Amino acid sequence: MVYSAGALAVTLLAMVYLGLIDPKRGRVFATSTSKWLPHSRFAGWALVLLPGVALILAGQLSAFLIWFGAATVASWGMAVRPPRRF
Amino acid sequence: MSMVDKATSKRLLAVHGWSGVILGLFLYVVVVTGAVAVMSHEIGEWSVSGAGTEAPLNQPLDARIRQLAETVDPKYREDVSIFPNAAGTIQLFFHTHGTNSAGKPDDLGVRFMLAPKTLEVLARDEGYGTELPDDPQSALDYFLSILHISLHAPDPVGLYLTGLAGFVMLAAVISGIILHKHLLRDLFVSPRLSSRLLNRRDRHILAGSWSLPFGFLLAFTGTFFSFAGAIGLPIVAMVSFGGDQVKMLETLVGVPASVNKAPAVMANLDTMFADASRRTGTKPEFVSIAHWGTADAKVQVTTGPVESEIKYNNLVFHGISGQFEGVKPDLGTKPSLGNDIFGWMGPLHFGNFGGLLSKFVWVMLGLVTCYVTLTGLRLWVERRADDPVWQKLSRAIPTVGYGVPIGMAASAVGFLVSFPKGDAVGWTAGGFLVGCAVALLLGFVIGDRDRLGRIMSVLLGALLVSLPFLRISMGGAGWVDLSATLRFVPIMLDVILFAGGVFAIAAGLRWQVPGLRASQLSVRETTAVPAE
Repeated sequence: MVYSAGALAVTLLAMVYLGLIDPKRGRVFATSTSKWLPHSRFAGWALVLLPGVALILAGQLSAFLIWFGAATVASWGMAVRPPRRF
Repeated sequence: MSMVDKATSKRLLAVHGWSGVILGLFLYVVVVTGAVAVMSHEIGEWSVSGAGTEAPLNQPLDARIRQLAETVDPKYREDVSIFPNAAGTIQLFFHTHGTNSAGKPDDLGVRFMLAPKTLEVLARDEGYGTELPDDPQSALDYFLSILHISLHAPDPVGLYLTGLAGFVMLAAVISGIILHKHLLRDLFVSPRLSSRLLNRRDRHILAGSWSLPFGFLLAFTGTFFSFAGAIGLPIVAMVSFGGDQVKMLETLVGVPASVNKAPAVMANLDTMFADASRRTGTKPEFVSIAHWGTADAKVQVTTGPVESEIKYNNLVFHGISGQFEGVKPDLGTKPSLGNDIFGWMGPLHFGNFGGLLSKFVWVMLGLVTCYVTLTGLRLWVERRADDPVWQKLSRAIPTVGYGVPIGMAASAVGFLVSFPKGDAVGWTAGGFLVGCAVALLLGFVIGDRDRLGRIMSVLLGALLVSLPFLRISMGGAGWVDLSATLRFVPIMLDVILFAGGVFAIAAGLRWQVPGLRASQLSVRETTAVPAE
């Protein structure tokens, strides 16, 4: 549980970052909240996936699956909210 | 960039849409019952106000099992199955093998139901395994599980039906991947607010995109479980074993060719169960003893997965010496990739590998899939807002969307009311049918889809809110008693049911329930997205 929670926290932070710098999201909702952030989608996605890779390498299959499932549900919950409520 | 040309894309869109429209509600029924069935053990525990003991198979059982073994016909001592239900009551089934009245291979023997802690015999039944009386304590969780597995349709029709739902979901997932040109680019784009139809479309696509990996996983494993037993194994038996399914199963599970049946005294079972717990760090959940009281007796103890793994463990002990002999694969006698994949199927589908945490995540994944299914259907009918036939049919979405959860909640009402009187099995099913009938009636009577959805939501909420109070008022343990005996699962489910009920009532009373009237759609909205 500790492994899953830690991995999920890192991934969700990276997801928030990706949401903030997402060009289409910003364009559709005419937001400019991300100007102060460095824009690197590659780094964002690498950070999203890194905890999963670490869990696999550590042999934590159970924690990996919990992380993967929770990350997809939580990321959807985050993405579905319009930027002003984000 | 699209993965296929325009004409293929159009055809795929038609397949995606029409398969969803024709079988979408059916798929929803299978998925929503599955999302609930993930918690079936906890629901069973809640329905009887907690288990009588924390680790039923780690209490002293050996003496009682030996004593009862002496009371059954020796021919029934060929095999023994031991497992607890959610209440902690132990089912002890001494059996041999035969052919039941339906002409199918079945276990034949004597089943004892033993009370937790005291091990008092609550019931003794003799006959074929599938024909023995249902366990009243498991009536609710068993009903909900079978509702998902086979919709309570006779074998193998029920399995074919749920397997078909799995195929529909697989087709929707794969066609959805191919159709969505900007899957990654749109992952963070919230549903647009420029038109309601576009907003609906975005909601469907966004939820579908995020749930794709697990949608595929759940559909694939579910289809496997539906068809492996109903079609796969009979085909293997026909091709490789001349139609002899018993011989095939013996080969698959690795039954030894010859058995020394010389009488011998069994080793202490409690010691073996404790050894299994010590080796895996988890408690035994199922025990199978082959050739009780003979020189070749084997005791197989199945325990939950160790912390980092997801597969269950089958630890084999020599029945006479009590020596640990090793971990037995689910398939065959030696470790193999096929066995590993087979062993992952169950945990990946049921989410039962990481305690409550993994189960909660799996429930959420199931609910997201329900959301995708219903929003897809709603999108389809809203794009045909000018077609009166589609608008009439659109009432089926809230009717089924709320009707099945209402039926499941009503089945819990049926269980709670009848369990103290001892007729829980019939009334659990009866409650479900009454709940579904009320939902259908409302669907026929109320013409306005918005109003129908709101009323259904309030009805569902009222049922959910009532369940914790009903449980306690019908003789179930209250929170003080449950806390004092460290039985927290019923308290947890009481809170979830109450909170879910309040949410559903609030949604029905205050919010715009998903669904649009045709008159609300402007021309701009109906033309904002190309019709499928």
